[in-house]
Amino acid sequence: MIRISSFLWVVPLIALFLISAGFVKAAGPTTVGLSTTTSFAVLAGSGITNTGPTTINGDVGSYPTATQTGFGSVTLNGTNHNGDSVTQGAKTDLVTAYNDAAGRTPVTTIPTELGGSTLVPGVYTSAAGTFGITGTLTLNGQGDPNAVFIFQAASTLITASSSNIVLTGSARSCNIFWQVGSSATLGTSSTLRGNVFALTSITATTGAVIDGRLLARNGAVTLDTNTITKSTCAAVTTTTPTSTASGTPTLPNTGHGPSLPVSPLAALSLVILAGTLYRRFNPRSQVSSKPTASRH
Amino acid sequence: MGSKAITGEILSQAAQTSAPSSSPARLLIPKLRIEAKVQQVGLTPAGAMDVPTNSVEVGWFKEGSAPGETGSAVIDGHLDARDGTAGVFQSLGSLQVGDKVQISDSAGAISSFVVWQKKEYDWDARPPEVFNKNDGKYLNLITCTGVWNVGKQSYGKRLVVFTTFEKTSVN
Repeated sequence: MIRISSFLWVVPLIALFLISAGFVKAAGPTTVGLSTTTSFAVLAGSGITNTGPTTINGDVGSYPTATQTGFGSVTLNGTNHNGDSVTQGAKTDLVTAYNDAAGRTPVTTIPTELGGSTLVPGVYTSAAGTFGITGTLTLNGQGDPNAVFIFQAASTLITASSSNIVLTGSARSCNIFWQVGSSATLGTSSTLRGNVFALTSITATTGAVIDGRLLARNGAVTLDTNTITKSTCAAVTTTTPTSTASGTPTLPNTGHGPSLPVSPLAALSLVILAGTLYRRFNPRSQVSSKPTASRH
Repeated sequence: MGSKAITGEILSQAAQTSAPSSSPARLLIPKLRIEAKVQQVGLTPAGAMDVPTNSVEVGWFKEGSAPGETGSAVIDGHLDARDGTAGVFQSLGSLQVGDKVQISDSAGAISSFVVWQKKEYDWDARPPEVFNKNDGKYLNLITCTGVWNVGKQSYGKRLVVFTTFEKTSVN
């Protein structure tokens, strides 16, 4: 007879498999409040330096050093707050957001290299205190548009050239947070999604695209031919049609159908009708159409 | 509501970048020599996406995302006109995976999209993946296809060409 206790070791293995495969969905972290930093795409402590044509979709500002260099080639679709009171308030809120992200638990320790992996919502750190992306990192929201991903890097975040983050399962860049204990460097032509909170500086190298925010507490933000777009969660809410009972419209009727040809039967009917009307209203036709007297 | 996948190849989204949002103004499909003005359409009383008021322009579903925003932007166009002549989307079905579609918006920016899938749906389908897919930036083009049903005054199928955002350039 097989003893049941001999199989008890299998139970944690099955649980581990189910969790790692995403069949069991643990409650993920809540979002990190951005407060007044929400309107900013780029925020720095010791100035912003740019090279080449850069597009910034969102506000910019830096405090206590408001220096901006190379902004002649920046297309700014937002407000340049320089070092004004709005920037100062946002810098205060950035400290709060940074500390919030840095203090989140429970934390799962994963390898430094994130490229090639798929992660579900959670709080992540690495043993070395660094994160890197070479290739593609996939973040799977498991169907929840409010799924939150928090990465706690005690020292650096460094992404390789052409690295990318792909969002699946309704994950959104507005709910991704990179808390970096020193500095972040984003590789050439790479794509990073999420909000970067760096204690010191952030460098986006040539052609890097940021679907999120670059927020540096004490150091500078250095840009080079980038596109930075602040991501907002509210926009998605308004994109879901809610006007129908099912929430999804029926597909449109974009056809008028083939034009109707004049069939032979229809043509014959028109001829008979015309002939009938002609005999009815034409006196000569009526006389000639009178029945003749029958012959006997 | 059956659907038939004509091709299911999904292009890499590695080229995805972000785009500023604005109202779409013109639709350009170089392969089909289409350059059409974009109208804004809503819902019919029956809950269907409405259609443009003529057969040479296209209709953007204003209740959904704008092209280049996160979510599903949807544009429809007529297959044919009342006089039987071709509508703007007469040849939409000849688009293939990898073909380019462009939208210029009211601010002058041009957003480029790439075809990654085509599907046919029944005429009365309500496919969420056409209107509610929010894990990326999509532009979906719709027209009629199939056999004309005189009783329903409708073609029997709808063709949807799914495209995914590639980049935005500003003039």
